Amino acid sequence: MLLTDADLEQSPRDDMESLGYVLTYFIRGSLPWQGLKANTRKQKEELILQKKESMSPEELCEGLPEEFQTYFKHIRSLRFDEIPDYAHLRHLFRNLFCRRGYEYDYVFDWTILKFLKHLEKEEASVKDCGLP
Amino acid sequence: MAFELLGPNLEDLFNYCGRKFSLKTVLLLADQLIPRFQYIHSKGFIHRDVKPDNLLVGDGKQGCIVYVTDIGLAQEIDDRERGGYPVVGTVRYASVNAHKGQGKYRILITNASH
Repeated sequence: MLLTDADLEQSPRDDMESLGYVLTYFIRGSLPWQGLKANTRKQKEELILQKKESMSPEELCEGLPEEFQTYFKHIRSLRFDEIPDYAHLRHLFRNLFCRRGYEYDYVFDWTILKFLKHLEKEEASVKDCGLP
Repeated sequence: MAFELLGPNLEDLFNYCGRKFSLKTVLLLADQLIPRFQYIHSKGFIHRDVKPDNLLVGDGKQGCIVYVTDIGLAQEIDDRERGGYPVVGTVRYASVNAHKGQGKYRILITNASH
């Protein structure tokens, strides 16, 4: 007797595809499949899937450095059980980082914002104490 | 089990920064997150719910470290004993494969004499 058990599984490729969407979301501000209208949750999922499938890496990453396209092309080229080339993906982004002349100083956008808010607070407290 | 105090998640920080990150910030994040997932996968786990809410920065001096949390949905890659994992996770960031539920189909060949 042959039993087939359609057991759904995911692989490293899926996590890395999701990570790609997260990074794209951060840099674009949103993803193209946000805000799609549907009556039911199932319909909405279907619309999101359609949108994801219909978009090539070029379309998804339009206006972004081409490393983002390359990332998705690599992930999409993988078979289910193939291990992503993590070193290659990391090098892609590292090279871009260097080419742009950024400093690896762990200063994120929120680090700057927090620092500026901190300065504003300090200035305000100096004013509040009423000294000339 | 080890616990560490963690700071805000990346969705909160994204909101804090006006819902857009600079290329530099995104690349700093990618540089930490790619090896983080490589490590998780090398230990035989798949996260299955990668989203900004599950990525947290450290507290205080660890503020420049990004942690991957909430691996509640994670499954061991080679766990072939348990069945019936639903394809779950956050739809916005789900892989096409996760949507379709067309991951690897497990084929059980059972001898009729059993």
